[in-house]
Amino acid sequence: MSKHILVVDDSVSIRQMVEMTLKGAGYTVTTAQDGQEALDKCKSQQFNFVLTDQNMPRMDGLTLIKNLRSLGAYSRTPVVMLTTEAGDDMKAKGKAAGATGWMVKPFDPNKLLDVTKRVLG
Amino acid sequence: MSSNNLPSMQQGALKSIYVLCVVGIAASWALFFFVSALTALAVLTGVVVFSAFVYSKSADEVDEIYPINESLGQSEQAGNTDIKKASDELALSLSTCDSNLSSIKSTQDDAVETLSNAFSSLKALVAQQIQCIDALLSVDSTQTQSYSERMRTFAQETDGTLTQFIDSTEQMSSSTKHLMEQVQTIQQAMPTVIDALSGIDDIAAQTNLLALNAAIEAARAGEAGRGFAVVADEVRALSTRSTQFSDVIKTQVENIRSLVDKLTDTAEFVASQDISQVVNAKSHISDQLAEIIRKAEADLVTTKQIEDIGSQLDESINAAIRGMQFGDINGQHIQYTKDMITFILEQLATLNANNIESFVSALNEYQKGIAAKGKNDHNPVSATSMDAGEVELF
Repeated sequence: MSKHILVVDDSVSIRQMVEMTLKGAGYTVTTAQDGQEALDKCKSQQFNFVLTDQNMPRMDGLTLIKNLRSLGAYSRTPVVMLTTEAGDDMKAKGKAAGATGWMVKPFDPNKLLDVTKRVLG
Repeated sequence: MSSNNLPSMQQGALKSIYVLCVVGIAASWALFFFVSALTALAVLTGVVVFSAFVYSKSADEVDEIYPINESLGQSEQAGNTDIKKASDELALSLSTCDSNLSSIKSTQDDAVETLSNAFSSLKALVAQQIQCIDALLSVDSTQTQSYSERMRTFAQETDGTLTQFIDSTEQMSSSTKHLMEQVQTIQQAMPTVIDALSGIDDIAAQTNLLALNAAIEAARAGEAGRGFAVVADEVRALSTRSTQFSDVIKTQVENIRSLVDKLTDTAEFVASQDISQVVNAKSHISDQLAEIIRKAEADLVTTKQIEDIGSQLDESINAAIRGMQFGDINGQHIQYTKDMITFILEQLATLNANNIESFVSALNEYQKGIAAKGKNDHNPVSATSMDAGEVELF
């Protein structure tokens, strides 16, 4: 069975392009448009990997990661940040919140697939 | 005239110009970074012209008012009116900028969505096309060998089979020649047999004649030759039977000779068959097979080219996916700029002659002000090109 990935971003086009890239490589993809929607979806089903934006309405990426890490089922699930932010302080916050990795936009589809492959082991 | 002695009205005008310059320069920098240098220049020019206007107006008023020595309260009120007027003008310009930015963002979002939909379906169509080509070039889904490779193997095997066939035909042809030689030997032996039979006939005729003479001699001997006459009759009967047998054998030998003649004809016909026709046919088929092999090899090259084009298409689509993220990136730039403009507009609305200092400090600390409203306190965008961003795994 193919791995199930949750893609979280408030930008429709980013969701669409990430989805297109991951589905093209054979992954199953579900999308959420902000942290809150993502958290709700994670509570009702288990994803193998969560790829999230940082700046989103209702709940940002860092808060989502903190919330996910407090859920037993997501304590070890890879969560990678895909954001326009590249500051070291932001990365440090991400690391502290429990992010598995940090990708700066714009993403290269092949690099995204490499990272996905690596974090999914 | 020192600045301390300036009438309050002129002091108010200077404050207005100061505020105008601060706000104007701040707005210009923001516009320069996030919208365009031209817009920034336009705003800056507007601010300079407006400042000059305010200053000249206040100077005129000073000329008029100074000798009259108006009260302090009146000049402050006049300064306040000027500040209000200037800030209203600025607010109007900034509102126009804000509404333009909203239009840009909405058009851009729409364009990027259209583009990303188009590329989604393009990617799906390319994948479908590659599948169709694969189906066209491969024998079936269970075989890894391509159709052209299979064709080449088939042609090579057929050529091998044909060569074997020719070898067998040549062998058969040489065997037939050998057979014909043996049949000819038999045919040549036939006259000797027939000659031998003629000899037997001659002997039988002579024996018959001898028996007749013996019978005559026996008759002349009278009673004493009676027994000899019986023997002579028996010898003549044997001679007659011998002739009969010889006739039967002769008939059979004639039959055999005619059959051997026919066999010779047939063997000669077979042996004389030209196998060069078969060899020619084989060489013709070999040529056609070579043509098929050439085509198959050309197909292999084409297959490789199609694969290359497929991966190039993939690369192009990947580059397009990377490029189209400008929608999200510039959208965040625009949003951040809009938040800044909104903040400045809010501050402008409260501006009057008495709170210029707090107004300036609020502007200086706009990051805190924006953050207090739950907005980003910094521009969230780091990228300055569409090159792929860095990747870091913790």
